[in-house]
Parts: sequence; C-alpha cells; structure tokens
Amino acid sequence: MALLPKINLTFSYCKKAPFPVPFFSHFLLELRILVQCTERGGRMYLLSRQPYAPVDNHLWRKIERGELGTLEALQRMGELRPGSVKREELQRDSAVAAAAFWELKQLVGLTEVKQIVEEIKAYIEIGQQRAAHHLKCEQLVLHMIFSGNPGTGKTTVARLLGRLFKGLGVLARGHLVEVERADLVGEYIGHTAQKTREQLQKAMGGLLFVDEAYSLGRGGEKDFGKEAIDVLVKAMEDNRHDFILILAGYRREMAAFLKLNPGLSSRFPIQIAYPDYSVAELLEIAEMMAQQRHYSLSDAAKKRLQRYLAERKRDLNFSNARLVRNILEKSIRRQALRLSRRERLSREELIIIEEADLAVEEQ
Amino acid sequence: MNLSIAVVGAARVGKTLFCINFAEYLGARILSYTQSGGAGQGRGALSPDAARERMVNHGRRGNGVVRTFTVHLPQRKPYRRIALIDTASLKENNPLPRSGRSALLLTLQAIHSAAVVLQMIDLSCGDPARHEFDDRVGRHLADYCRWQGKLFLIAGSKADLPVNSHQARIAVSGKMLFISSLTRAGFSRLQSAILGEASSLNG
Ligand SMILES: Nc1nc2c(ncn2[C@@H]2O[C@H](COP(=O)(O)OP(=O)(O)OP(=O)(O)O)[C@@H](O)[C@H]2O)c(=O)[nH]1
Ligand SMILES: [Mg+2]
Repeated sequence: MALLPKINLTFSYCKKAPFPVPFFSHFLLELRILVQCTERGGRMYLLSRQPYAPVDNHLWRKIERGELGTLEALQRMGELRPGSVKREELQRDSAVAAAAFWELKQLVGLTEVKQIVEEIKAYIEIGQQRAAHHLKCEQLVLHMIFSGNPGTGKTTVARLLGRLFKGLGVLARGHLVEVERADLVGEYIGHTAQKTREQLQKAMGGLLFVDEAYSLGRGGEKDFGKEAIDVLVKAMEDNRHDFILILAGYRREMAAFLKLNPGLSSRFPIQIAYPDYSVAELLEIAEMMAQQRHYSLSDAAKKRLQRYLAERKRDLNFSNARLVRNILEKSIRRQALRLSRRERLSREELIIIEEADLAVEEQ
Repeated sequence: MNLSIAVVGAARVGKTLFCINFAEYLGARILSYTQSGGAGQGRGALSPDAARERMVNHGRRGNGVVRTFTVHLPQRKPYRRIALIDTASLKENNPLPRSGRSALLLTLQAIHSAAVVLQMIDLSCGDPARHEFDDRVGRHLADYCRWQGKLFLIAGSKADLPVNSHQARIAVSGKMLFISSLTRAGFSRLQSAILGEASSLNG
C-alpha cells in the first residue's frame, strides 16, 4: 500500500464530466492507483480507496454492450479473482486441437478413452456453435478420475488432453502439473493447505494430475491428506473453469478411496478406466516406440518379447507400457554396445535390434 | 481514513431510505451527495427530510441512478468519512435494455470500488421469484467479496413489517442482520458490524 503512488487529481466540477465516468473509473481501477479527487470546493472524496484486483475491461465492455445480464455479470466478477486466469485470454486454436486429437487417436488400444474424449470434444465444439447462436450451453465439468495400473497411458492421455483443451479454448495454458501425495501433504497444521494451494496455483490454466490420489485418503480422519482433499475440492468449485483436476491411481485403490469419500465421486463426472494392455497391444507399443526412435525389432526379437510379456503379465506389479519402454531403452543401449565392437556398419544393422539385444532377463 | 459501503439489492428493497437514514443516524445533518446515471451527473446537499421526500421511491420505477452520500465523522474513529453508495436496483431481465445496462455498469463499478458490500433483502416480500434472485445475487456477491477481501453483509430490510416466512427461513440459515430503516431498529448492530469488522479488514 505504502508504495502505491498517490495522485491528487483536480478537476472543476461541471454538470457533464470531461470524460465518461465509467471509462474514467475503471481506468483508474485498472492502474491500481489510489486515487483521490479534489472537488473545486477543496473537499476530498475517494473514488477508489484500495487497490482491488482489477476487473478487466472486457467485462465492463460486455456489460455495456448488453452481453451479460445482472447475474452473469456478478458471477463473472466473482470469477475474476486475484491471480486467476482471465477468461478472455482463452483462445481457440483448431490446429493445436486437431494435432492433439490425432496423436490421441494414434495411441495403441484405449478404445474407451478415445471415445469419451471424442464425445467431450464434440460437446465443446457444438457448445461453441450453440453459444454463437445465443443458445443455452452448460459448461461441462471436466474434472476426471483415471483408474488403471501404472503404464496404462494415464499421464500420456492427460498431457494430450491438456493440449486438446487448450486448442479447444477450454484451458488457457493446457500444461500438466504432475503431483503426488508428498507434493500436497505437509507436516504440520496449515502446511498442507499451503502446499496444496501452491500446486493449484501452478496448475491454473492447465491440468493438475494427482498420481496415486488414493494415498490422500490413507491414514483416516486425522491425516493431513484429508485437508489436501478439502482444499482441492474447494478449488474445484471456486476455480471451476480455470483448471482441471485429474485424480489417478490403481483401479482397486481408487474405488476404495471414492467409497470412503462419497461426496467426491459425484464431483468427477468423467471417470475413465484404463485397462491393462493385451500382449498384442504391448507388442504394438514396443514397435511404435522403436520406430519413433528410428529402430526396429527383428522378428526373433519380437517373438522373444512376446513370450516374455505373456509371462510377466501374470505378475502383480506388472507395469504395462512403462515396462516395454524400459526394456526397449535398455535394449537400445545393448545394441549400441554390441555394434561398437564392430567396424563397418550398414544402415540396416544400425536400426535392427536383435533377440540377443533384448533386455528381458532381469527386468 | 475513508470507508465506502455499497448498498445493493433488488428494486424497492429500501436502499435509498436506508442510506439517508443511516447517514442521519451516523450524525449527518446535511447530506452531500454526488450522483451519476439516469438524468446524468450531478451533486448537491439536502437535509435528510428533503432527501427522503425527493429520493425515496414511492411507487415509481427505479431510475438507474447511483448516488454516493458522504458522511463526515469528525470525532469518530477509525474513519473520518464514510461513503454510502446507493446503487441502482439489480434486475433480473436478460438482456437488459440500454438504460439498465449503464445502471448495472455503474452499480458493479460502485461495488468494485467499495470496501464493504451490503446486500439488502426485503423481508416483507412474498414473491418466490424474487427470493430466488436475491439468493443468487447473494451467492455471487459473497463469492466476489471473499476473493477480493471485502466485507459482505446481508441486511433484511423492513423488519417493522410482517416478515414473510420464506425470507425468514433464509434469515435463519444465513448471517443476516434485521433492520428497519423506518424505525432504525438494528442500526447500532449494523454499525458495529461494519465499523468493527471493516477496521480489521483495513489492517
Ligand atoms: N415499512 C418500511 N418501509 C420501508 C422501509 N425501507 C423502505 N421502505 C419503503 O419501501 C419503498 C422503497 O424504498 P426505497 O428506499 O426507495 O427503495 P430503493 O431500494 O431505493 O428502491 P429503488 O431505488 O427503486 O430500487 C418506499 O416506499 C419506502 O418508504 C422500512 O424499513 N420499513
Ligand atoms: Mg433508490
């Protein structure tokens, strides 16, 4: 407060102000200047006593043009809170949306996920057309629950959704902030709320992805995890259009977590189950990952990998696509080692990963 | 230090009478005011009696004026001056006619410039549509004030009249102060709510 410039403006009072008063007053609010106006009589009165977060000019103009009714205008004023993303900054970019959607379509498997995302995308696009015709259009609540084993594509999909929603003009930034319990839960009373709010602040305009979210429900009533949930729930209501919350975790644990917090489930209208990949899908993923890196698996290597995956799929801590990626990356290093012992190499040899390179034993 | 209070509410809830009588209650013998909207800019000074006669709305339609009464509090602390902003009535129809829009704009800007927002609800009103509107206005205002760090109060006005049962129910569920601008019942409690809490807001 003390650093704010204090400006005394003197203008002689006349029946008509020298400029339109609404313009004048919001201009001052915009500058966050503590303004005192001196009337000719020398008496002072205050236009703006305290620098509140400015309501942006778009809103005032919209009201002037009659685009907002009383309740909408009040609501929008309530939404324009300090630090929140201005809705006007949302910009549609159909190229970004199309690219993200295309990438999503290219993902192996995930039929249900793709279908739900397609529905959401269609709803948003049609909603924008309806709005252009002044038809009512409820804004979708897009908070989601992702349940599925590790490596089933949850983070990948979340990242793509961020880009998709940015492209569709639903989120201003579309970035993904990935957190887990330790990022949200603090050590003493009040610490948790502060930590959680910090993460929320980072996620404004994008997605907050809480991995292994069920761990917040661990430890019962006294646990600080509960406090984190409360802060998240409040932010979901208060900033409902400023960010999207995704709670992710193993299917069984998430189901138990939601059962323990019955109010929670209804706040997440979109709940997506990520099934484990089949062996065939995992193989396809492996081939795609290899291709992206300009490698290719030999037929023998593929067969070996298929056998290995079929065996491992029975394990409890089988980690799906992540396992495939780890195997591939290790195999690439082994191939390099094998090739480095040789002198002249063909393009083909540089590309192919042989069965012997496959890092499947000790994984 | 100065304090400005935006008095908001639907048509004919008693905003103007409240501003005049509360100013008088705070010690003003002459009410100096500035106003904009409606017939244009203006300012003046009137005795409370004259103000009541000229400004309180007996049966006419609201005129879209936003009027600021300035009350000087010479010996009172912590404020030297209190601005009571009598805003234009909030209306439900959407889209608003042109005159309604500029009144709404002035009102929202007044709300935005004020440190305290006082919503008035007519306790004697029996119209359920009005109750619903008041309710929603209240929720949006509360939301807005919470985030801007402003004091938000709800006053149930015309408490001297028979209280409508529905409004009474709202009053029980929320934090509402009952006042009557006519009899000045509830004014002292309202004063301490505003001055007490607002001074802590200013830090
Ligand atoms: N009985 C009673 N009547 C009141 C009280 N306050 C206001 N009124 C009456 O309610 C009517 C409207 O009062 P105003 O003060 O003009 O209301 P307003 O909210 O300024 O109205 P608009 O400016 O048109 O929105 C007048 O007839 C007042 O006399 C009160 O406390 N008790
Ligand atoms: Mg009035």
